[in-house]
Parts: sequence; C-alpha cells; structure tokens
Amino acid sequence: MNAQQMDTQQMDNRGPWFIFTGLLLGIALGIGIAWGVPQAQPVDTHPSSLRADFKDEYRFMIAAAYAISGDLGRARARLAVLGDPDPLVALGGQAQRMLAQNASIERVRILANLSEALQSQPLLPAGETNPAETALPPADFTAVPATASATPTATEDPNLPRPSPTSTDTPFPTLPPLPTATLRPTRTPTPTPGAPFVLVNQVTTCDPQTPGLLQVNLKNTLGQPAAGQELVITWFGGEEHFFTGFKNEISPGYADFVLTEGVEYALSLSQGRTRITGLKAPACLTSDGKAYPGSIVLEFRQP
Amino acid sequence: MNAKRWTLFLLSILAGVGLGLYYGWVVSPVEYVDTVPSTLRADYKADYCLMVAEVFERERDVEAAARRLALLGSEPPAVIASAALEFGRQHAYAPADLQLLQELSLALQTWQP
Repeated sequence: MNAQQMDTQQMDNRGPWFIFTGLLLGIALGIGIAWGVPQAQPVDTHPSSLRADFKDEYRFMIAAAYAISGDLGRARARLAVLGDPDPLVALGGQAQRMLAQNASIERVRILANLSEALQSQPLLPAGETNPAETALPPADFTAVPATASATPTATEDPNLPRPSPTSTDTPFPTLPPLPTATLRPTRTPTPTPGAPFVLVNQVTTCDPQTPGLLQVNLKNTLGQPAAGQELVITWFGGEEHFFTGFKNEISPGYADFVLTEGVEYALSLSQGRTRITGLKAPACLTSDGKAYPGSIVLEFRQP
Repeated sequence: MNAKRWTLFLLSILAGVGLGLYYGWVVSPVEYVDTVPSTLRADYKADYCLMVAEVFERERDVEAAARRLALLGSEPPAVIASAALEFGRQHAYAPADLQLLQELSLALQTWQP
C-alpha cells in the first residue's frame, strides 16, 4: 500500500461526520434565509403587528364604523384581528389616552359606545346565534387568506378569525357572499336608554392608598354595571368628562376622578338629568396625624 | 475526499437548508412588530377602506376620508379606495359594502386637495 492509498483509507475511516457538518451548515443557511430575507421588507402583515399609534387609529375606525352601522358582530370581528388580549381594556386604555391628550369628547364617546355595546351584548357561546348579529359572521368578514407567495408571513394568533390556507396557487379563493346591509341591526341611539340614574348611596372614606378619589358606580335597572356612561364633573373654572367601563378590573360600571383638596365639585350624568352638587374631598388624618384628602363613593342606579 | 463523499456532503447541506427553512418559516417564523399600515395584507387594507367608507357615508367629509386613507400609504387616496373597491368586487363583498366603497372612490376621484 503506497502513501496515497493510505491517506484515502484514513479519510474513509473518518466516519460520517462530514454529513453532520453539512447538515449544520445547511440549517444555519436555511434559518438565515427564513429570518433574514423577510425582515428586509415586511409584507402582508397582520393588524396585530401594527405600531401602537396605528393600532389606535385602526381601533378608532372600528368604533367609528360601528357608530354608523351598529353592526356589533362586524366590530367584534374587526377588534379580534388587532390581537388585543382584552379588547375592552384596549378600548378603555385608548379612551384614557385620548382624554389625557385633550381629544374631543365626541371621539372618546365613540369608543365608549363600542365598549358599552360589547359589555352589554356578550359573545354568545358556540352554537347559539344572535339574530341581530348573524349578518356578518367574523369568519366571513376577514376570510381572505394571504397570497400563496406571501411566505413567510408575520406570526399570527391562531385564535384570530382567518381562513384555512389553500393548497392551490389561487391567490384569493372565492368567498361566500357577505350578507347585505339590510340585515344589520338598528343601532341603539343612546348607550343606556331609560330613566335617569338616581343616587342610592353616598359615603366618604379615608384610605391613604387612594387619597382624594371620587369613585362612581353605576347600575342599570337590572342591577348590572352600566358601562359607557358619560359623567361630567364641573368645578369653579373647570369641567371634565369621563366614562364608566374603562376600568373593568374594578367593575364595568365604575369610573373615578381625582379630586383636588379644598375644591367643590358637581357631578352630572344621564345627559344632565341627574346632578349631585357639593362634592368635596373629606379631610382625613393618617395614623401619625398627617392630613390627606379622603375619597367619596357614589352609587347610582336606574329605577 | 472522493466524489461519493462530496455528493453526500452537498446533499446534507441541502437537507439542512430544508430543515432550516422549515424551522424559520413554520416552526418559529419572524414576528413583525411595529409595522405600518401600508404593509397590511390586502384584505385588511380593503376592510380599513370599508370602515372609512362607512364613516364617509354619514359624515360626507372627503378631506377626513382622504386623511384616514393616507394611513395606508403614499398613493393618492382615490387609488387606495379604487384598489379596495376592486378587491371587494373580486371577493364578493356584499352589494351594500361595494356601494359604500364606490361612493367613497367616486368622491375621492373628484376631490381636489
């Protein structure tokens, strides 16, 4: 056996490691292509991946369209594609941001109306349908899949309504026709129509954890929390609007307002038909004798 | 290395590329974040247009509609609305929705900013 033959023999005896090396190189290359190429220019993205401010605009348009059409099923489906963990919380958060940015009260009210509608008409369990909302099932509404060439697409929540991809190259399969607008439900003109709310309980509390807070709880005639109600608080030289339904972690019928010590307020609701005056944060003392403003808790109910 | 080993090596690379692509596209695809509306999939763009059209039906404010559509890209709002209308026609949108999109599209075509 000469030297060349011995070298060849040695190489053959090295085993299959070159296969693993090739596999590793290939995997690295494949992942590089899969992750590197699409990042250059996102295409066919999902609304859930939108930047926060664009999401807010999208969400506002959903609420504005709902205010016109009154189609809650469609609004619900549209909200679902935004991928918010809790659409009500997202609506509430956006309303708070808009209020903080001094947005017009009409714009905030549009969000509040949708929030109230979502809470007053919860989604029915599977199998049951609300005749007023069958006009546009969510699955039909967004049922336009990505193009066959749109791989890779952004990661999407599998729970969101979307169609099953087809195995053909047909870019957009034909969908069942959507129902006509004549099937849409008539929009309820006011968030919670009915008699004006009446004050059933008013207490002052001293809690250093929540100093100077006006806490309002609204319940409708059925004793359920009334969301989406506009509250107007006025004081000498100022006025502010706030809404119930944006702090669902406490109650859908809850809203609060931070009181300034020494200032007297008046609260009106039910489009001004209910008015409570003389609201002033009570003086409280901590255990070590330090003064702080207390809170006022108001409970209203529709008779 | 002999020809057989080279062939196996290249085949293993190809298999690895396949596995890598599967992992990167299916198992753990890229998650886009903070995207802009102009990158939205066509159906979502069309639906956004439909929302604008629904509001336009009531408000009749072409300027506001154009401003809202500008969110979807740098193309003229009339082009964006026309594209949505065409998309709606191709995908059997409800006649009432098509009517809304058509009204918006027409209004934008005659609108002078």
